[in-house]
Amino acid sequence: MLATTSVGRKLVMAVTGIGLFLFVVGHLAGNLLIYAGPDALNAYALKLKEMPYVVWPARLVILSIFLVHIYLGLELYRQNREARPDKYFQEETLRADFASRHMLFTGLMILLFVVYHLLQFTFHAVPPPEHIYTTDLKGKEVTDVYTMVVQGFQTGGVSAIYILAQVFLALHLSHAMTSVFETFGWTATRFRGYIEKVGPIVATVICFGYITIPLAVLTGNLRLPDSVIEQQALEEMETNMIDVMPDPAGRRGDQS
Amino acid sequence: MNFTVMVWRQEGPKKQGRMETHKVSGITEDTSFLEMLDILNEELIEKGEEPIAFDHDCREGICGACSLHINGVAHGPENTTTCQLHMRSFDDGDTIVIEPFRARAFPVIKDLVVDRSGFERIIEAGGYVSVGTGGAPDANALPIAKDEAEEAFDAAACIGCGACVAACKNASAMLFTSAKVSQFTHLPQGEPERHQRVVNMVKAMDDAGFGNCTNYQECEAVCPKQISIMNIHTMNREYVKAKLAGTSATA
Repeated sequence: MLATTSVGRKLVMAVTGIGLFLFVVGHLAGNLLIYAGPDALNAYALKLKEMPYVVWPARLVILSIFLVHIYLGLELYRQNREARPDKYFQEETLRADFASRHMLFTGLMILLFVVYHLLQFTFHAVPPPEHIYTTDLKGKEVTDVYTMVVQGFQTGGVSAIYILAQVFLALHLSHAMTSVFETFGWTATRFRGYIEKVGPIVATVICFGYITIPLAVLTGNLRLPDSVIEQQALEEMETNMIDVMPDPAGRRGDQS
Repeated sequence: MNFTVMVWRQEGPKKQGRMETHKVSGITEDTSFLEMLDILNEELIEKGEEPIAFDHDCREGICGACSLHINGVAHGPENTTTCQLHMRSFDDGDTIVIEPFRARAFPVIKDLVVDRSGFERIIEAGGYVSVGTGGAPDANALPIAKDEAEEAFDAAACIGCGACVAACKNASAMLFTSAKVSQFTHLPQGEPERHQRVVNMVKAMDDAGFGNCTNYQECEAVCPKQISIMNIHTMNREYVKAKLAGTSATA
């Protein structure tokens, strides 16, 4: 309906984009609770889990918005390529910045990252961490999200993927958050300079907020809780003990 | 000055085109770009070859007939129409690449001449105002704020050359269409057709096969009349208002 005209498609891209942006902001706010300590983050995770009637509809809405945004993005790309079937022999770029020219690429990279992120931290299908711990929160046995995150980011490669993904997100947002104003026509000549800075500034703040977490883990500013370290030491000792125990056949283990 | 010119040659609308190389020599720096092509064409005619076809009319930068994509930029290196570009903007010995404006909505007719009638169809769809017949109205009978008059006039400076489409990486005609919408939006004369105009002109633009705007701003960078992308934002706003008012395309 709206998406059948060029201006309508821009509007739908902008509206769905704002929805996704709000999610990104909300998600960041939740993530930053990690700095308030394990209990704060775990309590927040528990609260979400205890409200399935809110969380699941919200997830469905976000997923639908995401799919519409992706579908329309690909469709726009196809239409825009078709609008110039014969390419120029020589074509210069005077004004369009890197972010604006790579929206499809950064968008697809974000999609890949979201899939990886869900597999790692939501479905626990991809390690690290190998093992999801539980912890005691006011007498309740709950998933230890804090430990999961810290263990996940202690692997340098995983942190690198997250940091790179945030750079892609920042590039995407730096063009998007200025474009939103242009698409809705919320502009005026005298505000133009400010509006063109909104995207880059918002993108930088969001990107910085997210990447502090893996950086804090890698630099040792966010550590595993003592209880988990003790538990890990205990487990390690147990495995070592099994290793050195003589086996029933009388051979000595660990010597071959 | 001496130049090597690489120029697009295409015999007709459906024919296969190719780049062709020519040497031009003895050009003074005050020669205009189109005069340089005239000189090259005279040499081609003397040699019994087909001259290069290109669009031009007023040659004083006001009609919008000349086009040409020069060294990768619509209208070439200066922010003017091609007819106002002079050879002093190039260095002696340069290789100059000349192509037609390229867009599905601007099919090549011959060599460097493209069919820009897509723009005519956008204008037909809404680029007019209703005018009451009868005696001439008194001067200044219709007060218009200075700022509004300026914005309308800036938008009306568009000469419809098509450089915006040529420069846009999506071959979008949003800058042109928005200038034509915007010049009436700012004036009371445009009020009667306000909603219908924007909806109809956007539809005509889409039907002509132009791409979508993704806010690259390449159009504004090449526009010889410095049409601002703020007009695109005005058109977007007008479009939303028209749609909220329940307006649908009539053409």
